Amino acid sequence: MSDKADIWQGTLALMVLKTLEAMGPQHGYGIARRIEQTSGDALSVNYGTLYPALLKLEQEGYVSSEWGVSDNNRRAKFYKLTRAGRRQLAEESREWERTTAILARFFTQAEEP
Amino acid sequence: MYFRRMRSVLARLANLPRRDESDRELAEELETHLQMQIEENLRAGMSPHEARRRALVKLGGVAQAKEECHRRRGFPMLEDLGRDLRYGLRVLLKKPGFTSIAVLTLALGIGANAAIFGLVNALLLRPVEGVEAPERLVSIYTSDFSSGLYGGSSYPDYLDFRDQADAFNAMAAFEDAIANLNFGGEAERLRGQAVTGNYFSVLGVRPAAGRTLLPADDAGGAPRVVVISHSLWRRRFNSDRGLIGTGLMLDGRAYTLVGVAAENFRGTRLGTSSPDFWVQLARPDTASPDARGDRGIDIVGRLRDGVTLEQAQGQISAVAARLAREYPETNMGTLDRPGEPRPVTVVPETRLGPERQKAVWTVSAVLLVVVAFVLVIACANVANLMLVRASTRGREMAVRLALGAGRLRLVRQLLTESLCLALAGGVGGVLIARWTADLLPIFFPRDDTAALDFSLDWRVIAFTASVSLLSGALFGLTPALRATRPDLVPALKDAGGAPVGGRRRLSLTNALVVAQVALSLILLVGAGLFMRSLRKAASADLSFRTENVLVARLELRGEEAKADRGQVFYRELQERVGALPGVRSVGLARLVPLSGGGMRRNTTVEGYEPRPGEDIEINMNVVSPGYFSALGIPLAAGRDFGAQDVKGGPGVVIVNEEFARRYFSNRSPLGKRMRIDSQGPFLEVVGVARDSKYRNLREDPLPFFYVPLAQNYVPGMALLVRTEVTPAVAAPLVRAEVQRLNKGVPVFGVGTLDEQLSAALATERMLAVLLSVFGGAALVLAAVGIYGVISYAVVRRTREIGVRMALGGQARDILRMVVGQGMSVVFVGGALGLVLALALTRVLRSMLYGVSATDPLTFGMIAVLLTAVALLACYLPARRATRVDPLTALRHE
Repeated sequence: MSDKADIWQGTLALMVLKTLEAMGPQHGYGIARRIEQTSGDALSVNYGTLYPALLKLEQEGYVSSEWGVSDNNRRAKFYKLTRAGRRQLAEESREWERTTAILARFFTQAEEP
Repeated sequence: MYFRRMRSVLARLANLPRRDESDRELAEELETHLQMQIEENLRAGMSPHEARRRALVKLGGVAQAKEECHRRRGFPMLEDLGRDLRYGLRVLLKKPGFTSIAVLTLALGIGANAAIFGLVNALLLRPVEGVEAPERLVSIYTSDFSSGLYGGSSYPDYLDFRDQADAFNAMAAFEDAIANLNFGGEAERLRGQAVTGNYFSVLGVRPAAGRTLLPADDAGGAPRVVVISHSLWRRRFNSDRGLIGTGLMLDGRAYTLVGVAAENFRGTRLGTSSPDFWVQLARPDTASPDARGDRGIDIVGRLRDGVTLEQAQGQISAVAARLAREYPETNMGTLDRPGEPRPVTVVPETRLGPERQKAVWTVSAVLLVVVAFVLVIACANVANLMLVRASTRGREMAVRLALGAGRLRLVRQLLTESLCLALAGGVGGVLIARWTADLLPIFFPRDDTAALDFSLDWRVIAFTASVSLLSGALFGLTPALRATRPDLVPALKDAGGAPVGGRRRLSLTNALVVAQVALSLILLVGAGLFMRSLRKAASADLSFRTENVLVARLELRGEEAKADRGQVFYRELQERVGALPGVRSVGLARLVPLSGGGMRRNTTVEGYEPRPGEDIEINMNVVSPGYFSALGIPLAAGRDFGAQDVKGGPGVVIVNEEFARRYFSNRSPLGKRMRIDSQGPFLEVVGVARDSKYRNLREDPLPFFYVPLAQNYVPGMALLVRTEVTPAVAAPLVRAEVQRLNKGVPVFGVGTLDEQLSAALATERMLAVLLSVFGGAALVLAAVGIYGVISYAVVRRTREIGVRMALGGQARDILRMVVGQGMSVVFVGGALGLVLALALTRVLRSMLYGVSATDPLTFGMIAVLLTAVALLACYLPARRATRVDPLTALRHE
């Protein structure tokens, strides 16, 4: 666990939203695994970070949840993106791209003599 | 962002009822998650045991996640606060002694602040009552140069301001009016106002019955109508609606009573008693060139919505400049400011008017600083108590810190305890303020208190609440930080409840004692100065005798006021009152000395050439024969006025000694001549009166002259009756004589001369009494503070004292050691206080009479008093120290 990066709280929310957009309705375990896989197992998602984040997103109205049945026939709570969540995701992605683009320019500049 | 937060709050609120269910669902969810992870691990080929172990390690603490989610479902800040409050209250209730002393101390400090703020609120902050949107009302003043910016305006100027400045919705004019009301066989002098017809609509005052005055009442030839105050309606007319529309006699003239003003409307100004009637303002002939120079009216306006005071001022100044160009004789500056337009000033409407407002603020500022000191002293005491307590709770704090409680969290909890104390103190303070609200009116002349409302309103409550919170932070923060300082090891090692942080804690308490002593010394010095000042003022040599003199005021109005009838009335009245049993002498005077009024006239003295620009406006009074003996003013030369000084006879005058010194170069003035203005008839000086005080106690000797009533009739006079015994007995007799002579003449302002003089000292008395009370409270609090600190030091050093005793130390040495240490702190505070007091009391100089702001006697006496009290406060615990039994002390730990 210690060799894996902890997740920066603000970005976790964005990752969750992106994951739900990509996969459709998903339960907590599914979201966690997908994030870990997408990160190439560089990240590790535990209870203490995932569930408070999901609760916060739900309270803010970006995701909604309902109980359903998983592939293995287990009762699980499925999260899905709401319309507000989609809007928020679009907005934050733009913001994120802008920030990274700017930062990228700094780093490329710094490499020039 | 904002919406997101809102939505989150709403979601949490909506979910609150099913919070337990949510907790259960989460548990299930986490369990599912775990199972899925285990299955995955099994698929990866781990043994069941290993799969489970790895999954548990990876997913981390279930309890933490649950706790975090549980918190997020609610309102963690509020819940912590609630928990802290419950815990704090429990801790406080467990120590009833500590808690009650702390709450009582704070209640005193906060109560003093609430009471004084209540006073400031009643005088300065409460808006004009009974009007609409008082914050949009302004007054407009024209400078009269001689007495500053805030003088009256002229009617033609008012019309120009009204019509040429569009910053105002409307503007009304009014002036004070007096009328004698005759109703039901009883005459009464009323104060009222003559107002323009739009006055009530500008202010937004509604009638309680009938109607108010209306613009139509301003029309030429409109019948005379009157609106009366609600209090007059109730008092004299028994709230009878049937009287509306009937006639009312004012000054012997018939008016139609058209309505009653709303109950809570008592005019816009405090200070003079509130108006009891409103009649139409007589419109002067605006065509007359003199009309613009006659500045007798006040103007009140309502700002248009969205217009600032500055914009309104700009417009009015522009109009004033235009008027100055157009009418230079009346609207251009004179004397000291030639060639400038007369300044016209727009100020927000206040209950006192701009000049008294400023004066009252000065006194209020002194009082507010004083009570702030008292509060700081009280807070210092409580802080000391908290520090003592914090040191006994050192272990509790250390354990909690060691168990992982955040320091911030602990500080917050300790502060919550302080705030509980502070709020309890605040409640006590409000109770004290409510009680003192009934006492405060004694400091004000009766006329004022009628219109003053000392009741607690939201401003007082809000102020008290903020003061309480502030003081809670003040006395709570340092002890809280001190108590949670994370040097755990010594605290945990320490076996019992022994204190932590010894030396630094003690130096902090010493600093608090120094501050207390210094502040209470400043307050006591202030109190001492005002007490001495009041005594000096009360025993000042007025050069007239105030005891056993009854004052009653009369004012003839209407037909009665005509000179021939008035002269007869006053002559007969004086004879009849003079014949009453127990009356020694009677005099009449236009002005009662030291009652606040004054008359000044331009005077020409024969044989005296004024220097260029010399002010030859001299103060004067109109008196009857007998005035000097009634007041006991000796005549240094010549004679009193007498029956021979009649109208049409040779004009006579009596001057005072200062007048003689100044204008007759000390030669005998008898037989010399002077005249009022340059055209008046010559008056021959027939007597010289001793100098006395005329307008106020602080004045330098004033040149002054008296003219006889017989030759200078005025319709309003005060009757001064010197009696054998207490003058109160004579009051009903005098009233009866006036009634017998003329039923239509009201008697008002009846009282003894002593009473009236003491009213002149009202501010001095208020400051002396309040500062003494607060100074005394400060002294007691400081003494308690010293006592507490020394007691605690003795307890802390029980062991050391025991050792000293065991080694042969004498009780006397112990006593000297403990008292000496206490007093050294007191002396530091005292010295600091003396220095600060020397600097601060200078501010009071203009408020003192006959005492220097650095009066050594006052300073010395207060220093002695404080030392004595501090000695006592040190001695009591020190004596306890000498009774320490060495054996028990050594076994102590």
